[in-house]
Amino acid sequence: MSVISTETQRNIGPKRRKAFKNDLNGILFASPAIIGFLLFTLGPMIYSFYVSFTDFSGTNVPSFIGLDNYERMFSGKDQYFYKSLGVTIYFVVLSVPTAIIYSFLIALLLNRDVRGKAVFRTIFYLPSIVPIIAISFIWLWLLNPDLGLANEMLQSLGLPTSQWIFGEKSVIPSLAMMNLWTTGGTMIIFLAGLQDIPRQLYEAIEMDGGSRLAKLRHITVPMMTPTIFFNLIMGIINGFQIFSQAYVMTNGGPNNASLFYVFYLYREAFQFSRMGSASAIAWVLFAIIMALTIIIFKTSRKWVYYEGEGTR
Amino acid sequence: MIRKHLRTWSLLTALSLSLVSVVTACGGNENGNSGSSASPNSNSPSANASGVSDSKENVKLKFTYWGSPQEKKAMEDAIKAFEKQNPNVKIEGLHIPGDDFLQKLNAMIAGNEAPDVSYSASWKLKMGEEGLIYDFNDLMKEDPTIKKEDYLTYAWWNWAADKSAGPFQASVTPTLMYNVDMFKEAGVELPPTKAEEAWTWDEFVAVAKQLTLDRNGKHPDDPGFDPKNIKQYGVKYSLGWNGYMPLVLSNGGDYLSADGKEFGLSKPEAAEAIQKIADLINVDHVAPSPVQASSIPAPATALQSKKVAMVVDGSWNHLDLSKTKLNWGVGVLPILKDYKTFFHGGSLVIFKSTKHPKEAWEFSKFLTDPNNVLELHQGLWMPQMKKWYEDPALIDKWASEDLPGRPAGFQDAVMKSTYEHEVPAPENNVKNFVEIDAAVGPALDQVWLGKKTAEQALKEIESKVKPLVQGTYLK
Amino acid sequence: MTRRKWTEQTLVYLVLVAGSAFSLLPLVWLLRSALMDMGQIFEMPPVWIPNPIRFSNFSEALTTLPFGRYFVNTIIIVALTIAGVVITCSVSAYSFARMKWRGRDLMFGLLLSSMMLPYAVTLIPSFVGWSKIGLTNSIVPLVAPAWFGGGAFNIFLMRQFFMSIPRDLDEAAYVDGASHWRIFISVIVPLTKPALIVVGLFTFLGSWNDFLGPLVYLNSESKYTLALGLQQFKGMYAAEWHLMMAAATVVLAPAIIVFFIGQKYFVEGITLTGIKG
Repeated sequence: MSVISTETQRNIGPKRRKAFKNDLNGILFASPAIIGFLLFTLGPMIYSFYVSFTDFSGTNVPSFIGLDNYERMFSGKDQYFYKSLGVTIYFVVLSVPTAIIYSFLIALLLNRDVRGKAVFRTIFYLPSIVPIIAISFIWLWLLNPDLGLANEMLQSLGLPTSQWIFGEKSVIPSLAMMNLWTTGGTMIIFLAGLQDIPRQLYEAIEMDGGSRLAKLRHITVPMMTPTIFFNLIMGIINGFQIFSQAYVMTNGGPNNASLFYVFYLYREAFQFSRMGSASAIAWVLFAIIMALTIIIFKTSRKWVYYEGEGTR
Repeated sequence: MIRKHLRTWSLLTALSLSLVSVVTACGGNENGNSGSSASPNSNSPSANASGVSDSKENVKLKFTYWGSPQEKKAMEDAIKAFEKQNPNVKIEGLHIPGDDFLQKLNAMIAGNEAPDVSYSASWKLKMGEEGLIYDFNDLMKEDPTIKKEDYLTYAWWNWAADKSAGPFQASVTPTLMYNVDMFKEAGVELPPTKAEEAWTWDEFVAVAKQLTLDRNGKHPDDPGFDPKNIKQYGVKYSLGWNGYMPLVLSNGGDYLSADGKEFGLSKPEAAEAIQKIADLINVDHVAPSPVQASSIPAPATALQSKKVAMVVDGSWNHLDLSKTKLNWGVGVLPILKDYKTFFHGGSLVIFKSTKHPKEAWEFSKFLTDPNNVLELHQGLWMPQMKKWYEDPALIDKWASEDLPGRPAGFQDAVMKSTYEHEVPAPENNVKNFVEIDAAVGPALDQVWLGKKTAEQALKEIESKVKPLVQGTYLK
Repeated sequence: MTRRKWTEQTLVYLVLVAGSAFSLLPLVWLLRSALMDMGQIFEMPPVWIPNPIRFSNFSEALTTLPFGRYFVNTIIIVALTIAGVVITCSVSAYSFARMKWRGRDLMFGLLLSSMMLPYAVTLIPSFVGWSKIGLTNSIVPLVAPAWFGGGAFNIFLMRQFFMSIPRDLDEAAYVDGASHWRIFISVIVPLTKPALIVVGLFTFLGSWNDFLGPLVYLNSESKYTLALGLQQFKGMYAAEWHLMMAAATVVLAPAIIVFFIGQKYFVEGITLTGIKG
């Protein structure tokens, strides 16, 4: 039964057809991703959600235990949940903004006309592809409270030294600092984004007598907001899932001060053989990251500028 | 519109859920799976002209293991030797990086591709409880050639008092290793090699002090000694359970109380021992703190570079030491009251999903016999059968002091002292050990750093550890 | 004015050189460890010049494990993966960036959400899925996802780049009667070459260094990849670090070369002047 007059119906006709055609086209183009998601991702995700309500060890037949896993975590019976969550949030808060600012600045530098650009860029990118053992050792050496360069420099400047990764209070800031170094990927993405900014825009400002700073403020940063947005989201998604530094360097210490969330999860799954519990832990993380991402997405309209978004 | 999408979504969700249910259905009887023991070869008769009983079919076993390349080679040699002795058996060895072994194994099991024989870590206990692996007691019952008593008393991984996942396949023990030249230069007498002559703790500390020097050449008791500028440490003590447990035991303490119902480390005897080790760092200044220790690497290198004079750590380090040109020795551990120590090590498990339990059993026996993996037993590992500690001919094979991995005094200091004073290691004796240790470690971090006393730190975690304490398996 | 420029340029060089020196450290450490006796590797303070220099580490490492075969295995996987990602990711991302369809944002959100669940808990169910179709112990599970969008990260990245291209170009082509596909091929793709190359580069590196996937899906050592081979040097009680460092250096080299070449292309290749004219 239609409330719309036949005349309007006739007018809607082509529009609806067009909408349908758009849908079809859109889905067609996106079909690899959609099918991929359904085939490879959805199943395992649903399964792990189910497992989070069981006592699955990884090898037994799981039996349903309701909210027990979640209850253990939230009630504090599991002594590591809140600690690792706090530790991880602390790390994310410290590392994500600093990593973005740092890699943005480096990308700016590497975007300039300097000789040997290619070499410089490769070198700055290196730390993020060199095996973690090499990175860990260098930092263990540099941050060694007695022999390391870092404390020696601080001492010569008359500043107090730090225990770096050996101190409960200083381990997370130390790791956040180390993290700056492995932001090669972020830097590259910024570089690619910088390349996309049309030269004329800069030339226009130059002609108006604008300074370097003006260029940065009015052209570079606004044009880079889509990239900044991307790196921010990815930074958060990855920051919350940080793992190897705890696994390789600190073993979660000292005294659980670097017990990262995914390290705690991994331990539940593969050292204590409690896959059910690990899945619950994973899904709580999922919810947190999802919530944060949605918030950032929603606020992105206010600050992200897509040049290709004229009609939105 | 939305309805259309809804239909698609529900269809796909249903598909995924059915996948889920298929997966969770106890998938024990899937046929047509690859890997593990394969299809009985129908052309076996032609392959069996070896004169062995012709009722033997061709058997294929899958064996998963980890280890450095040297261990890998030893395993491969052992596999070849076994295949030679048993021509109808083919073993597919799969070398898997150790750090992620369980992930791989879980995947294999979930996909019904479980191996027949495998290296294992403490997670084998849960598998035992779940009925995934064989109880060695059952397997031994059917085999007259081997008895439980043949093995070291506590060299078992049990998941119940009478159910065993198997004996150690490789034993190690905590040892005291030292740089002979450093002792000679300092004019200090070498560590004793007989348990009866073991140093008391105070004697040990005194020796360590003589071997500790700051950058100005002063010893810890000299006036003007600078603990922040130590050039050479007397001793580097392992701060893991394999380091502090012998001392705890020698003081009459233990990981759990005697009835296995309470946490033992927070009790006076144990806490005192742990405190003494921490004092080596913060009071006696003869040992590096965890901070400094991070820059003093593996024992072999530490001794070689003369950063430390003595190291108390696992006997597997003898392998590395044997590769250096260092003049090194071994001694018995220092004690507080009585000499007590333990063996510990990993074991092989046999999965119940195997189609050839008999051959799997034979292979695991083969690997556990030091004769077949001899080279590794001459530095990295120690045997787990009693006769190898009692029969001189056998002793000579793996512990002869002519071997580079066995310095003078080894037989007394490491072999005999452990064999004659053996108690269970907490790792395979204490229920929920892995989880308790995960709570103890962080607590002790503060003790080593001198922020809390052992008693304080351990008492603090008592309540957290309490629900985990559920007794022991072996004793 | 020129003076200021000169000091500025020098400052920039100084910062870059200092930063590079710093960033080179781990590579230098890796190289010198590859040439050392195991005993020297972890000495502190680090010994920078190996003494003696052991070139034999390389030959030993590369022959202890069949790295030649690992190399071939890896190349095959990597090539197939990159091809799949570059093609299917760009097409999918175009849809999310430029096309309007119902459920688009929901689908995109779902896609993103797949990155928010730690790998550790989806690894085994994924494996079981493949096992049911009998495709484990093959490279299919490692390569197939690349041909279905190549993962949320890449799609997200390409989407952002697509969205920053001005629409006037599309509109112009559209008005001329071009289909979406035409617009995609002739307008969008050429303009986002930098992003495509970046995605290709990241895919190369990710696939080259991936060892968890090969670990779980490959059941015979003859199929192992380079990254997995590297992990084989570690044991429970002893690790052969000197060999591992040598092998790691060899495995790292192609990655560095590919990056060096690749970054030249996407960074210097495209300027947008003239296109808007």
